[in-house]
Amino acid sequence: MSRLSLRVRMVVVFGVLITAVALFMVEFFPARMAEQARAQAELRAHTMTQVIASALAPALEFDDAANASKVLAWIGSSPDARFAVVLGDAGARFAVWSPAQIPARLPTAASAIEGALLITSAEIVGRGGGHGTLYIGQSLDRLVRDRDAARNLVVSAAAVVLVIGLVICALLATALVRPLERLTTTARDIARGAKPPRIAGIAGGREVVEMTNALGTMLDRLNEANRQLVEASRHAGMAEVATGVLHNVGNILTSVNVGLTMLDEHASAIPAERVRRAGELLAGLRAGPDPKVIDPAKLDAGIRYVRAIGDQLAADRSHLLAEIVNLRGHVDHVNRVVTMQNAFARTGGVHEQVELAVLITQAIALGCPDAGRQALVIHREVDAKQIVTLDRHRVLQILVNLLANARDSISEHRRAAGGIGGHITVRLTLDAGWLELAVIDDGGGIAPEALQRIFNAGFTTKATGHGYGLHSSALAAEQLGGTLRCASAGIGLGASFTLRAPIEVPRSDVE
Amino acid sequence: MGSVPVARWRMLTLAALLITVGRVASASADGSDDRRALVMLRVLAYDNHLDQRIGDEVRIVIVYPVGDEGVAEGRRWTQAFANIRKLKVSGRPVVVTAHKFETAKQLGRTLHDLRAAALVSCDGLGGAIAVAELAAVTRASSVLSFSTRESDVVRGLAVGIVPATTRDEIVVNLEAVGAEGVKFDAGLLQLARKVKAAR
Repeated sequence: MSRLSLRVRMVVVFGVLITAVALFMVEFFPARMAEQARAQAELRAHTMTQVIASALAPALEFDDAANASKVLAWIGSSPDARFAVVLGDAGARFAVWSPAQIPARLPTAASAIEGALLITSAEIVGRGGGHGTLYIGQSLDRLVRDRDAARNLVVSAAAVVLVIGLVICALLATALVRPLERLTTTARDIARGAKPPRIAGIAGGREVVEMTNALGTMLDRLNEANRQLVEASRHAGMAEVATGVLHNVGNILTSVNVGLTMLDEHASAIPAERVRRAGELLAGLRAGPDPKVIDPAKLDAGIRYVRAIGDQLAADRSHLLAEIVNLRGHVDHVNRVVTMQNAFARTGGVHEQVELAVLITQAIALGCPDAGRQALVIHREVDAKQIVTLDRHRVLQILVNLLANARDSISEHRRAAGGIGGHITVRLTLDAGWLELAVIDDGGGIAPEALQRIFNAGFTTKATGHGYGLHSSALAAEQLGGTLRCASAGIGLGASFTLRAPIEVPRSDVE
Repeated sequence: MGSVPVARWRMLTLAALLITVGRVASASADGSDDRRALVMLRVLAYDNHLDQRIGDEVRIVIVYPVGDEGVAEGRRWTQAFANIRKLKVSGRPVVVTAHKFETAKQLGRTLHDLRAAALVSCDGLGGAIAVAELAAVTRASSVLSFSTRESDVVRGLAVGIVPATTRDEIVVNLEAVGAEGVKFDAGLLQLARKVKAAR
């Protein structure tokens, strides 16, 4: 029933009601009319019997059977009359009309129905004490015919009422439901994403008009709210892009800072003083009594000293160049991050062939640039030969975030315990077109209640976090067409984050 | 007048007595007087003016002529009324009185004193008083007169209960009925045979 339309339900309900009324009419009215007709027939017959009994009294009293028969013959003028008989005091027939139809046994009641006959009786009491009983039998055929005719009439009327009622009900239901259907269609279109239209001109009752007006007002407000939402979303999107850029650039700047520290250390270690001393040592070779005489031993010592300085300088230059390359890479990544955020704001990322081991190394360098200092041991469970096609910078952004979080979690956990160092495992699994990258740490772990909100914007377990990294990573995973999952056995028991994303494996690798 | 006439008178008297006894025995035997008495009471019941003519009782005066035969007839009628079990008319008790006719005046006084409802004229009364004279008395006393001879009705009495082929017949002189202050119900008149008074 609940799946039927409102129109069908209304028609069914009203149909049942009208049918019940029609059945009541068919069953009640003919029966009632028949009962009334029978009562009236009985009354008429009884009255007639009383009148004729009164008229018969003298004849009975003066033993004038011929006259009594003459009176009884009057009854023959009634089309329903079947017999009449007058019984004397002793029960003998005094006068009779149509004796053939007199039943063998006459009823004792004043009125009784015997088969198709209505038999009424009346006592005959003459003024002079004469006594007898008059019985008149009348056919009920006409009554039955009238009852049947009445029943047929009522049945026909009920059928007409039923049909007309159903038609009117269907029309009413349609008139009631049509505005609702139009409103439903409008609401469905809005639900499918159509722009809320202006609603006007839906005819109906006062309630429908009021509902239409209310819905129209609601849609106007919805339009306005939608416009404001679009505007707010645009602002929010701009803010999110800016936040993403700042967050990712911040991660990279950490690495840049570490690189600058190392540059500073290497620059400080450049042996400039030793070069100056080498100059002084060489000048000392010519400062003897005879400027042309050079002590060969001192000369050899000077040469070894200068060579050592040269070796030192060459090594320092290599370190500096390497750090500069790293810094250039970091700056390039900053540039890519900005570019990627622009792309994030507009279209999808760029897919390229990536050697996963290199990607992971880069991510570790960005996410954990000072792993050595913090005594972090990073395990790579990676097949070095895997080359796949994916959105490199989006995966790199996610991995850097995960590694940085792992590093921070370990750092905070160990600092709280008064220790240092920890383990991070980066595990790569490829399975039927899907990549799974898991970052597993033995840091502070995540409380069960926090697991449910760990990817929400603004939620963080760090003392100095902003709750953006994991949120943006989850969004990036969705952009990749994959997922980002989190698992933790609880506080102090470490955590694991797993990125699952689709990849395209080059045909040569597949083969 | 010798023994013969005496013997003749004795013979005649005996014969008359035998005839009278025989008639009485005959009438009593077939119950015709009883039926006629009953019919007379019922006819009285159909008088719509009965309440105005009588008191608390319905008094019926049987008028018989002087003589043994008249006495016997008077007794016979008295006994016929006495044989009716429920002797009531319109709820009133019926009192039957036998009256030996002597003079019309005396009869009239008796009817008046008794406030009689009806008078039954015995068959032998015709020898003592003319029917017209008797009718004058009943009309003056507003007493319904009955007879068993149609000729009496034709001559001025009101109602006759006369023998017919199969049963007694009610014969009514409407003029006499009206003159005696009686108004019969239509139901009775429908059954009765109406006759007109001889002029």
